[in-house]
Amino acid sequence: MQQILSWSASAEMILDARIAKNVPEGFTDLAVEKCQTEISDIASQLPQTARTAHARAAVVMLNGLISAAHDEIGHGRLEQGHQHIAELHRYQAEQRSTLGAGG
Amino acid sequence: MKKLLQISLGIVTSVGGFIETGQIATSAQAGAAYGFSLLWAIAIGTVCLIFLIEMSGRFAIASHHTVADGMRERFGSNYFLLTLLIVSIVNLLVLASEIGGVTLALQFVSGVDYQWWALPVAFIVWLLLWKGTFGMIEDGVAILGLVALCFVVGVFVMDPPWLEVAKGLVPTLPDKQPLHYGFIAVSILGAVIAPFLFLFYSSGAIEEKWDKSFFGANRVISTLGMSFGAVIAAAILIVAALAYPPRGITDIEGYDQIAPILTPALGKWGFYLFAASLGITCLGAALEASLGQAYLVAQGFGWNWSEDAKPRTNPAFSLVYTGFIAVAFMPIAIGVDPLQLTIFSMAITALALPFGVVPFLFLMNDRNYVGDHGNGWISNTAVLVIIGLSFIVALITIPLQIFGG
Repeated sequence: MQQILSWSASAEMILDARIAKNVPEGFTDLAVEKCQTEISDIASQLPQTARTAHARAAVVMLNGLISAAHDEIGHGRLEQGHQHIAELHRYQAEQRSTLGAGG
Repeated sequence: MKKLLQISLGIVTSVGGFIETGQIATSAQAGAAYGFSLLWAIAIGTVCLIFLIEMSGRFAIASHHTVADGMRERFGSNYFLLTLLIVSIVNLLVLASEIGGVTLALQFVSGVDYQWWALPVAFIVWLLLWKGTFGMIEDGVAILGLVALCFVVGVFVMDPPWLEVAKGLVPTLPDKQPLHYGFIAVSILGAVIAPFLFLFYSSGAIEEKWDKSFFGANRVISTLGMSFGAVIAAAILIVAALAYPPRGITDIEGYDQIAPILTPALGKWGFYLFAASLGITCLGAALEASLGQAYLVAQGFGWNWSEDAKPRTNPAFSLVYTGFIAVAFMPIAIGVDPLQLTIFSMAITALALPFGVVPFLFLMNDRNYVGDHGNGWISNTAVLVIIGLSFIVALITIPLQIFGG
């Protein structure tokens, strides 16, 4: 889960940088796609047990929020993109505290 | 004045070999995962490298032999062939990683997938070697490579807690994931003490016809040049430690994560300066790794060799780097992840380290080669420590790669 959250936070950093026009669109598209692929790949390696069900659900949520933010930013709707990023940030923080509580 | 210029260029040139894809990747990984606490690995690796580089230059000046020449003559063909095989595998992996670094830099600025850039980059590396001279390649790439100083600028813009940074220079045990910590420490050592650097350096001394008046310059270039490179490597680690952990990024598993490393400090310029640093330093390292391999083979088999000569006067030498580049670009062209390849190549470099280091102990104490310019007790102690370190690193590399990589 730690690796998944690192990739998700990387996507957030890249999208944030895109909103500030600090990185080009082509880079953003490829890099965000790479982050999502890595998140999905790591999740697919999780065993299909009840204990990992929460992690799999979190992966779906994280990838959904990344896609939504990427889509909005890609269409120039920066305000909406920013809102999705803020939501992604909150969700990651929740997952991190859950992970910390679970040891 | 001319010598001062040569020394200055020599110092700047050192950045070209020191900062490359492995150094950038391992420093960024270390900073993201463990903050400043792995700075000591860069410092120790740099001290070892300074001794080895100084010795390879001194050996070339005193004996008019390169280190590869000396290894073959002193230890015989069998030992040389074994070393050649091992160093060639390491060089091939390093070259593939460097080509990967240039292709990634191009991907970042163009948005075109890195795989498509593999062949054009390999062709440019080959063309520069085919048409260029030693001085043009060394000095040109080195001066362009100064762009990597942007990481040092980034450190000052981000204003780190300097006391914490200083504490990182003292080796400490980590409070989490000791195997992963060990693996990254070993990878940093592998990235810093790359055999192609000191094999290349002695060939460069012969190419540039260093005579006995260069003993002092060699000492200055090896010490200041490698320290200069180490400062930039440390700056990458510090910037990573400041940029990533506060954002929740503690695992760096891809270059896409490293690309925005300078944007918190330098904004849009940070992104393009990072891409330029990655592309130029990796191009420089790719040229050095290709040339280093051609030098090693040609010197070992007694062929004509010189980057300054036309390819038709030393065809076998030119054929070696041509074939080497043709093989090395393939992993990147078929889509092998450049960062994974880099990390693997750093670990294999660490594994191969004893083969490159042990000969120094004998060559630098053989009066037939170095006359009165052999090692004193400080240099011999340093070599023994480096040999001990290289064996420890080689022994723990594979277990760490499996359990901590």
